[in-house]
Amino acid sequence: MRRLILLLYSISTFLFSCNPTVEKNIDPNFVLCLFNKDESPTSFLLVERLDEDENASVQIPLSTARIREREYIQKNGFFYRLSNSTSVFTKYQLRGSSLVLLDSLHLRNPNVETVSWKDDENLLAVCREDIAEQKSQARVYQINVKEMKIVREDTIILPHATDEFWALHVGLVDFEKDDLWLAYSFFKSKGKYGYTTSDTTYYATINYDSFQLKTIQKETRSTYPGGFNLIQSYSFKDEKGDYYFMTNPGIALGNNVKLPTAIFRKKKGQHLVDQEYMINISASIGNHAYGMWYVGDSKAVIRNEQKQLYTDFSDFHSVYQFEYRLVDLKTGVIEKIDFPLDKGTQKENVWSDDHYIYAAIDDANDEHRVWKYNLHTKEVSKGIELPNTTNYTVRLDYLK
Amino acid sequence: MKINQDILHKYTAGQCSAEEKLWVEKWLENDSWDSIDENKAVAEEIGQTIWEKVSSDTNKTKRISWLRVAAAASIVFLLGFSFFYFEYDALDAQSFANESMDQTKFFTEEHYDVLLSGNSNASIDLIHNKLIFSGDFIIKPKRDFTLLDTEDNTLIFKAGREYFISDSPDFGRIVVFQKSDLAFLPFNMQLKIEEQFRSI
Repeated sequence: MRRLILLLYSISTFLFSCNPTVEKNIDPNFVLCLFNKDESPTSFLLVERLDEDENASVQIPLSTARIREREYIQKNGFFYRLSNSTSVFTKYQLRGSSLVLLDSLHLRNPNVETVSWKDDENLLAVCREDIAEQKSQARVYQINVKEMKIVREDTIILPHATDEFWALHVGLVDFEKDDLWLAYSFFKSKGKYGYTTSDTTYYATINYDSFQLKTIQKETRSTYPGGFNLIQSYSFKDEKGDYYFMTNPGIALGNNVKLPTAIFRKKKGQHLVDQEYMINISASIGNHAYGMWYVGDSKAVIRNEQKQLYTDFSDFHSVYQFEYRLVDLKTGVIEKIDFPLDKGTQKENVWSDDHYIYAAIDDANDEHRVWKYNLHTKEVSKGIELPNTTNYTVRLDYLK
Repeated sequence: MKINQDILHKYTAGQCSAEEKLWVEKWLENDSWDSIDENKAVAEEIGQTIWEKVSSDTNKTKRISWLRVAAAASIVFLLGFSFFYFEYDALDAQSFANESMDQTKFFTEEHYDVLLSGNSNASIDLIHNKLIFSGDFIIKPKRDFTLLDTEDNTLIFKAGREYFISDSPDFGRIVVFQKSDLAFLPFNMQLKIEEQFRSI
């Protein structure tokens, strides 16, 4: 044993003496957030490109407090993060390969459920508030991130909680024609840790000036709209301004598995969700999905589970089960993308340009790599390989 | 005290004072990206230098500091491991109980720390490698060991890590999550675990 310890000391000494001679300036275009093996600190990997291994990269360790580490908003190289222990909302900027703290402000709530951008400078953040009897209360912040000022904050009670399903989930927020639009549902606890979502979704339109409810639309085709989009994307607007979103009743989010994962649409300028439009993902592929990314030309990528491969909550994240599929939003046709099976619940790991879809995948061979799908030829090919210290690649963000 | 590259270099070289060492280790454990204390809104200049200095030079790959931190962590681990291996090799069997319904109860032992949730108990037998428990607890081993639970699962515990263990019917069976894996649980479950174990 002493020899082993001595050997390990020697390895450590070698690590100290290692002084990589990569002398290359880096102007990163992408940042990947890595959960690393052996409880090593979470890190940012900054890269210039996703498709070449001969690529300058820089890795920045973050911290070992893993639970909330991936919950941040990234826009144009700025990072925004809410501490769930202090309710402090902080703004960072990536300058070269340094993460610089710029400013912070204090919110009343420690957790944000969903966000969207009202415009380039104004973030709309929605939190649920469990205050005494007001369990269906949501608090909306408009934060000017340029000045790091709260422009306004309001609280609203969202109707239709019941004695059984009283806990609020606000999964989507949109701003259309001077009105705020929220999609929400209610859930109930089951036992100590379990919960399930009711079978109904509600869409609320709120006059933003008066903060009064204008309309409520009831939806029974699916439940658990959107989700925590600081972790993964569930909505987008296409080139025409039509708003698409997905519902997530599978066990990783809504846990009302009998209802289908589906894609819905709210047309530009409308407050009502199109009742004639629904892509029933579960009916098409026999599984639930979580995460949706627009790739242009009326097509979106989804990331689906495989129920025959996992047991329950305990291994859902660690099983290599996740597939990627391309959904035609016009026809509802869903095509499988031939990427390796991925692991990790709810990952924000898909980005696209005019030619390729890129997905950062942690495969069963313990290879961590960005994979590419050619949108024109449908060919799959390899992109950059990520460090072998990676356990889960939980995010891939474009910085420019 | 600010965390900067000088302190990290001293840390990796084992030249930190006890106070500096504690500071760096707190920094590595903290959930903040920027500073030890995120309790208040910060003035513009505060914290600006931290990441700039830690990852200061864009001409170098940051794997250098990464490796050094990793190496430092491995040395701290090895020191701790060898200390416990050579000094505290006597294994034991201990039982813990928390009859409170809503308060956690903390126990610190030679080979691990245990935080029991309300209405939980655990019997940890390192001599025969057995675990019998009811309820939920967090264990932070100070040495590596394995335990066989009542469902004949072999549970592997590594020194320095944190594990959440539960036999709640909500999971359907005995579950063991490393702290990092809790990030993948549904948000509502995470919140409930956090409500019980404020320290997780």
